Order: sequence, then C-alpha cells, then structure tokens
Amino acid sequence: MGVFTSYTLRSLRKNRTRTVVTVVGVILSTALLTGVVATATSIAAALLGRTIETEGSWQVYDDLQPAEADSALGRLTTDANVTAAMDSQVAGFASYASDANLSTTLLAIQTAPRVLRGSESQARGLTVMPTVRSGREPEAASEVMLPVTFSGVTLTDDGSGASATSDGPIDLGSTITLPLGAALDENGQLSAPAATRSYTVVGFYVPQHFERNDFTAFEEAGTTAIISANDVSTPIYTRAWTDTNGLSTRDAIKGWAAPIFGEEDYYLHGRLLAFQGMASYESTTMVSLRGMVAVVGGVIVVAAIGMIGNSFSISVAERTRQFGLLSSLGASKRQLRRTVLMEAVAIGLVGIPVGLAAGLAGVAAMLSSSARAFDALLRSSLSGTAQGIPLVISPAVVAGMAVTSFLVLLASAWAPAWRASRVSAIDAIRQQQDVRLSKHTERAIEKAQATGIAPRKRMLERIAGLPGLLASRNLSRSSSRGRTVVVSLALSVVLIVLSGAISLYMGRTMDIGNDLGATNRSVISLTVYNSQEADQGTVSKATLGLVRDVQGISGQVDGLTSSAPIVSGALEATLPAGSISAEGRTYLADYNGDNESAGADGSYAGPMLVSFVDDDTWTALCKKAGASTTAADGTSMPALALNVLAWMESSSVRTVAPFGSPTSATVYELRDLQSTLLLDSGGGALVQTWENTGNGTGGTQSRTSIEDAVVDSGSITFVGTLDSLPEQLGDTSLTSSSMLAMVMPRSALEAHPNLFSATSVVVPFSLDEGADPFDTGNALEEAANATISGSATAYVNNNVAERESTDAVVGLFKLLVMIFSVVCLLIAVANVFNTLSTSIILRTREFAVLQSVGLGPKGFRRMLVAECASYALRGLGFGLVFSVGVVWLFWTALSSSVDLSFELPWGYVAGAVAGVVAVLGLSVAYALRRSHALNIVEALRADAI
Amino acid sequence: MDILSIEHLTKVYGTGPAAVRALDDVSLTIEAGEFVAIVGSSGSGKSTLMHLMGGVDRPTSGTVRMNGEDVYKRTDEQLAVFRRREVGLVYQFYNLIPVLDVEENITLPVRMDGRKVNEQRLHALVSSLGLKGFEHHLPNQLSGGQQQRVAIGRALMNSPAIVLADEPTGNLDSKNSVEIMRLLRSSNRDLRQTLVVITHDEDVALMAPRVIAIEDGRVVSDERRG
Repeated sequence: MGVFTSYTLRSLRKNRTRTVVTVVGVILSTALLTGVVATATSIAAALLGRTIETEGSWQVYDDLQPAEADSALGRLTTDANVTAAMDSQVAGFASYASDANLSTTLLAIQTAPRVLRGSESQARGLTVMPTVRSGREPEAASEVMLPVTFSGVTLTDDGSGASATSDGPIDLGSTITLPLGAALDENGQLSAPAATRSYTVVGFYVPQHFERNDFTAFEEAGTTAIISANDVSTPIYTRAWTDTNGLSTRDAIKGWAAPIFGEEDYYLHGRLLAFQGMASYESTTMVSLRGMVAVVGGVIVVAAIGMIGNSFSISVAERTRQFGLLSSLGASKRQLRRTVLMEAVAIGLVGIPVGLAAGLAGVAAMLSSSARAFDALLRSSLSGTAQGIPLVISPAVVAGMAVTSFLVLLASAWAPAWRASRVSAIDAIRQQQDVRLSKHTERAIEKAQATGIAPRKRMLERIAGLPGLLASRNLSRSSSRGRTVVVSLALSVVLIVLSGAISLYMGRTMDIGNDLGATNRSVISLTVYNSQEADQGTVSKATLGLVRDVQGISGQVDGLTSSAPIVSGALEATLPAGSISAEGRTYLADYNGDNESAGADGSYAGPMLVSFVDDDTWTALCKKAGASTTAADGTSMPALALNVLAWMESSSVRTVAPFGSPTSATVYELRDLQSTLLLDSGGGALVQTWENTGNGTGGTQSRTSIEDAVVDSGSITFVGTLDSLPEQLGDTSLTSSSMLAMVMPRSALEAHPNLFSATSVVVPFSLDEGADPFDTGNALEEAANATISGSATAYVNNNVAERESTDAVVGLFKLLVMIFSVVCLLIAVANVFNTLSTSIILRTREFAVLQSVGLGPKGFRRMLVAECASYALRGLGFGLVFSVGVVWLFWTALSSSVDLSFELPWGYVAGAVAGVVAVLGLSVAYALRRSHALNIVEALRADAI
Repeated sequence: MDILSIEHLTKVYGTGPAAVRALDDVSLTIEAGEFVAIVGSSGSGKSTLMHLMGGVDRPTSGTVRMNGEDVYKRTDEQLAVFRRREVGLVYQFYNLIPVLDVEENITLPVRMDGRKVNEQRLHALVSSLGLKGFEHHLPNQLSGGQQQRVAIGRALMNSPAIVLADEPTGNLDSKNSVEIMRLLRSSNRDLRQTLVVITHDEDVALMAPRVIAIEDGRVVSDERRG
C-alpha cells in the first residue's frame, strides 16, 4: 500500500463519525437515485407489458391488396430486421339477419393467423388473440370458429345477396353457409360474392377487444368468423402484422417499412413505439415519466454533490496544515489531489454498492407493498388478489447508476482536492491559521483600524455578551460553511412543510368528498326501487313494506352485515322567509334555470328530497346535530335540514350550504303527481302542473292556486341542521341531486305515508372479515332478485374495487412523497450535522485557549448555542418564507380542480421548527462531547498537526 | 506571604506500563511579588507544573493552594473563574483568538468575567506594550513579537495573583526576546506582579532572582540570588 493510500485510510479512520455520516450520505443519495430510476424503469416495463397484453407487440401493420401481397409477405419472411411476422387473409364480408338481438349485422371472414416469421407464440403475440370459449380453432378446410354471441342463434338470409345463413340454431357441429369474395364499398354496400361455401362450426371464441386492436377487430365489421389458415384461394386483401429489430427510431422504422408496404401506406403501433422510446414529437406518458425522473434525479444529484462536496471541503480544511506539511516534505500537487480523491474512492467503494442494493430493495418493497395501487394504475383489470408489477431494471442501468454515483462522488471531491493541492508549505510552518472574515466584518475592522474606534456591536454580542461576540465573529469567519448549514436547514424546512401541505390538501380534498358522502359509501349496498304507479300513500306504504323484505334478504347472505335500511323519497313543501341562504338561491338558480322556487327573502316552494331513518339512527343524527329528537310543539314532524350540496362547476367541485336558518316547512300532498310547487310573484305558493299531450312528445303547463290542488298537508319542524352528509347516509345520493334535502325519522313516514313519495330503500352492508367482496356481492344480487317481486327492482352497488383502487393510489402517492421527503431530509440532516460538528471540532485549540484564559463551561455552551441559534433562525427564516411560496404554488395548482382555501400545515411547520432545533441540538451536543473529552493541555500542546 | 503553595504534587499521564510520571511529589511555595524561573530540559515536567499552577489541568495527587485556598477543590465552572481572575497565562505560541482584534484579545478575561473594561488601564497597558495604533488589528496582521505582547497584555489585564509564562521567548528572535522579558520584568518590579517563567534559556533564567530546576518531574535545585 502506498504511503498516500495508507495516509488516506488513517485520516478516514481518525474522523470516524464524519466518515460514517458521509458514507451514509452517499448510500442515501445512491439509493434514492437508484430507487427513482428503478421505479421508472419498472413502471415503463409495466406500461410496455400492459400495451403488449392489450394491443399486441406489433410495430407495423398493413392491409395488403392482392397485387402487393406476395412481394410484401415474401420480404417479411426474409428481411433481416423482422423478428416475428404473421398474416391473415380476408375472404370477404357477409351480412345476416338473426333471431337474436345482436348489435351488429356485418360479419368479416378471415383466416386463422399464419406464421411468416418467428415462433408460433411470438407471431401470435404480435396481436391479441381471441380466447376459445368452447370447441377449438379451425384447423382443416371448411371449418369455422364464431364469436360466442352466435351460439344458439339462427342466421337467416337478409336478402343482401351476400348473406350468412345457418340451418338452425348454431351449435358446435352446425353447418353455416358463408359468401366469399364480397367486398364493401365506401357506402358500406356489399358487392356480389364470388362464391358461397359451407363450413362446420368447430368453436366459439370471446373477442378481446380491449382497444379494438385485437386479431378479430375490423373497422368495417362488428363480428368476425375465423376459418382455417390457407383455406382461401382469392383473398380480397391480406392483413399483416410485424415487429422489427435493430431499428431504434421511428424514422428508421418508417424508412424500413416504406419499400415493403408503400410510402405512408401502413399503420405504426404508436403507443407501443412510445413505450419503446420511439415516441413521436407529442408528449406522452413516457416523456412525462422521463421528465419526472430527470427533475427528481437532478434534485438528488445536486443535493448529493452539495452534501458530499461539503463533507470533503471540511475534511480538507481540517487538514490544511497537514497538506502544507506534506507539500513541504516534497509531496507533489498531484499526490495531494490524489489523496483527497482516494478518500472519495474509498467512501464510494463502501457507499455505492450498499446504496444500489438499498435502492433496489426499497423499490422492490415499495412495489410489493403497493401492489394493489400499481394494479389499479397499470393493469387492464383488477383481480381478487393483487399482482402488482415486478421490479424491472437492466444490469446495464444498474451499472450506469453505479457509474453515475461514482462520478457524482468524484465531482463532489474535485474542488476540495484542487484546494488541497494548492496549500503551500508556508501554511504548515505558520503558527496561526489564516483567518478570513466575511467582507462585512473585514470592512468594519478596517474602519476601526483607520479611526481607532471599536467596531459596532453586533446583534449577538448585544444579546449574549462575550460569548455572543465570539459566536458572531466565528459565524463571520465561516460564512460559506454557514451558508451550507442555512441552505440545508431551509431545504429541510421546505420539504417538511411541503409534505405536510400535500397531506393536508389531500386530506381536505377527501373531506369535501366526505361532506358529500362520496367516500362514505359502504362496501356493498343494495338499493330497491319501487316503480309502482299509484297515489303517494299507496306507493309509500308499499315501499315501507319493502323494508321488511330487504331485512329478510340481509340474513340470507353469508359474509355481509347489514346496517339499518334507509327509505328515500321526495316531497312538495313550502318554507318561510329566511330558510334559504343567498348561496342556496344562487345554487338553485344555477341548476333550475328560471328560479321560481326560491324567493329573495329566503322563502321556498318546490320539491325536496327526504331520507327516513330508523329510530336509533335518528337519535344518533339528532345528537350529532345537537338537536332534540322531537318537535317542540309535540305535533309537527321533526326533521334535520341537510345543509350541504355539491356544486359542480366546469372542472371543479365545491360544497354549498343552501339553507339559511330553516325553522319549519309545510308538506303538501298534491292531487296530480305531475304537479310541483312554485312561488308566485307575491311570495305565495302556486301549483304548476305539466300535462302531457299525445304520447309524451309535448305538453302544456297550467298553474292553479294551492288550495285547488292540495289533498292533504302537514307541518314539519326543523329541529336542527346537518353540515355534512352523515356516514349513515353515505349510500343515499342526497348531496348530489341538486335538490334541497332533509332527514326524518321513519315514524313520520309511517304516520303520514300520503304526504311523501317514498320510492326507494337502501341497505348499506359491511363485509365480514375474510369474505370475498365479489362473491358475496353476486350472492346478494341473487337473493334480492329471488325475493323482490312485482314493480320493485333491486340493484347491488359493489364499491370494493373502486374504493380499493382509490385507497391504494392515494396510499401509493403518500408513500412516494414520504419516501422522497424522508430521504431528502436525511441528506439535509447529514449535511448540517457534518458541517456544524466539524466546524466546532476544528476550533478545538481555540476553545482550549479560551478555556485556559478562563471561559467557563457555561460561557462555552452559551457561545455555541448563540452560534447555532443564528443558524437556526436564518435557516428557519428562509425555509419558512420559501415554504409559504412552495405551498402557495402547490395550492394554486390544486385549486384549479378543487375549491380549497389557502392554509399552511401548522403541525408540520411546528414539526419543522422542532426538527431544526433538534438537529442543531444534536450536532452541538456531539461537538461538545468531543471537545469536552479533549484535554485542554493536550489541545494546547498539539501544534495543530 | 505565600501566594502559591504546592504540596506533594504528582501528575501521571496514562495508566499501567505506559504511565508517565510527569511530576513526582513536588512541593514548593511562591511568595507574593516574586519572580521565579523554572528551568529544565524538554520533558522534565516544567510545563505540567505550570498547567497545574494555572488551574488548567488537574493533578493526580497533591494540592495547589492559591492564597491558602485549594485550587482543585473547585468545580469546573469555579476553576474557569479562578483562571480568569487569578491567573494570567502566556504561551510560547501566543494562542490568541484569531477572530478577535488586539483590544478584544487583551480584554477577553475581563469581559468573560462580565465586568466593565477599565479603559484607563487598557490604554496604559496598550501603550506600555507598544501596541498603540494596533488596537484593532487581527492577530494575523501582527508580527510574532507583537502577538506575544498582546498575550502578555491579556495575562496582565486582570491584575491576576500570578502570571505564568511558558517559554514566552521560545518562538522569538533575540531582539524581541529581550523586549518581552523587559516587559515581564517591569511588571514584576513596578507592579509587584508575581511572575513565574518557564524556560530552558539560560539568559532568561538569569534575569530571575529565584531559579527552580526540575529534572524528571522532581525539583533538583531551588536557588535564590541577591
């Protein structure tokens, strides 16, 4: 081992703590960089995989006319740039009439895929092949496979002259007759077929039309019959799919394809090419993915260079005199430079492999823990068990990361190494270290020298006396180091506050959803609608009867626990002045065009929604609203006004509080079910009736006084107001219906069924531990359909998949934000700790002198605390100012889609302040311990080498 | 009157076979107003003795009494107060605080004590040290002799009970050495400042009326002249 290598290793060992902190910093930076890149390559691979899964791996596709087919297909079988290629010949099109309600009446006839190049699976993988549901693919002549929708269907001649027919209902083994050679003209008219031929049905298939991009997809026809390969003598055209190799740009592929398929006479698989790095100019997912990686990676590299570079400058500053001495003993500049770079190499040899491993392990853990989220984001379908996406990164990229990290490390060490090589021998011989104060302080001292008047006292000196003077001078001496500390602290503050803001605003966005009930929906709910046509009283009673039926259903399905059923319906009511808020009037006007329901004085006449809950729920809701459960007068019906509605505006949603101070309402049963209440110009209520004429195509409005139209009425007292949709009512759509809504006890409906039009019953269910959401949902639907009869219909809402994917994506986002900020934070902490503790340790000898002339432990601590307080204040000051700016930008970006007021995450701000104090405290404590352990005598004696 | 009395002072560095007995049962007294030179070769223990006299180090055994009070019965904080009020230290390598100017370095012990600087005394001291016009220079703007004069100023500023100088001229040329010793001697003569100078320079030692020689951590001679 050379003398300089062993010198380097000893220096590293001597400053063990700083070495460890630096290595940890390198590990963190490398891990973060690797993590970002590995996540990106994995996502890119998953996107590519999904595209191949849903659209096939073809890069070029063409419809070849008979004249060009032979030469083109011939070239595909021999061209060096082709890995796999296949074709399918189109025998013609057919029309048909059927006894079933099929959505299309045009059938394409094409052959099964013929492999031109590559293996069978490679060639078939070029597109998405249909899955065989029953039977098999056609293999011999005159065999055909049809879409599964044709099973049991009888095809009859539609008289077009090119018609497909069957003898009877089609099954495996049936014979169908297909016309051959019939083409479609521009107007979609079939030409006359060249021949007809009989085929035996050997299979049924399910088309895989994810993107209308599979093997059986035609622009012209909705369904496709597949006959055996090579079973067509004169195809009307030939479809060809191929991929390429050795072509790395879109233009190269175009240049390759033109002579085979004709200039611009072919299709490129744009999405696939984009994921393969051959995007056209427009921005794509890949481009934004790359952009994000570049930005995040750039931030990491800059942070890492700053942190590592700082660590090396300290290391060099610490040993300035040693370098001077080495140089006086004949060390060349190159040798000195190499000494520092050697240090970087040693640190990199430890830090980079560990960082790479940690980064890959971290990404693997993140991918598997967020498997559900990645399924939701990147897979075409969700299955019961989360599959996630695999960690994909090529060895070349890992090697690239290692090299990049190493270059970052060397770049960081370069400037300090250069400085080390310029240390002169004189520096070693001089006793006093060269002290450079800040320009500001230097000017003040020069002025004092010129005038003989002592420099003006600085702030710290005034506050903390002599320790303050020492602190402020020291701060001024190491201003560049101070800047590092301040910037690192400010960066940490910004990161903490930003991640706080992200979770704050995400939370508040969710809260809006909560207020509206959007996120409160139960896992599975059963809704039964009563579509009986009768007077309100009869319908409402029948709906109340449904409550008993659904309670019976609830017991029949294992794995589900039901909550209390909620009966919902509408009513026609008038509310006195002051009931509607100004915001409510604007809202109603916005939704109802001409607003004749809400008066300027806050009165209302018109339809309202109501949900009836059982007694327990009613009591709970009244307690929540702080209201009594019964009306004060004892006779009127109690109700809670639901004072929240969703207001959707172009791209944003916000909540509206439509009620002012509602006190009471009068509910009316109107003679005509088509009638509704309105306010007249004088503020009284009118009844407007819409009378259909003809068969519902037109109608006339008539207005009558309320007395003439009313059958019965009742009074409602608002005992309280609900400001958000209660959890129990999450499955009702009360907040999103653009109508004023209220909640009442079910007993009110039971007592006065005729005053309300109760038409639906909702039962929310929770899923028992371990029950499969999809199976139980199906079981519930079956049970409901078996029980419900007559004019009632049942629907099961299964929110599992939707909710899971929302939760998972939100969770993933939070996880990524958290990982990123935590790691950035650790880098900043390492930076601050390194800088601060070393700057203190560097001055050991000075401290010893101060102590020997009588600076006590208290004064010493005061001096360090004053120094750190200055860092803390500046770091926090800048940090908080920038945080406000960054949070404001984030808020601006977010508020384009959600209506949120600007707010700072105060908890996180407090956390940032505490964090800054803690980091500085820790560094000072460490430095104090180090300088305390040092004997004054030894420190004084040590001639700084 | 004894201002400083040392009894059975022993200092051992390290433990076990590597232990070094830097001072071995040293007893001596120094009277107020005395000028004592302590001489000895390198490693004889004279610097250790000085640090123990100045309350900078702690002895392994034995006592150091300043004005009859046991110095090492004090806590660290009290010891710091002792150093700043009762002791003035002058080192071979000046040991000035590089970020403080001349005036600030000189007044350091007073300000550390939280007392107001006696401007008159400061001015008198600065002019007697020949530092007039350099009050606001930083140490690295001064020559070695000037720096050592600042260090002496710092030691004298508080009128300590005793000034301890460890090879004060060891780093200076003969002209500056003479100047520094003249300053120290005049402080002893004119101000009755008790002064202990540690040196291996015969010429320096000859200026002192009392010379104590130390060898291998023991006092081998204690001579008074004149």
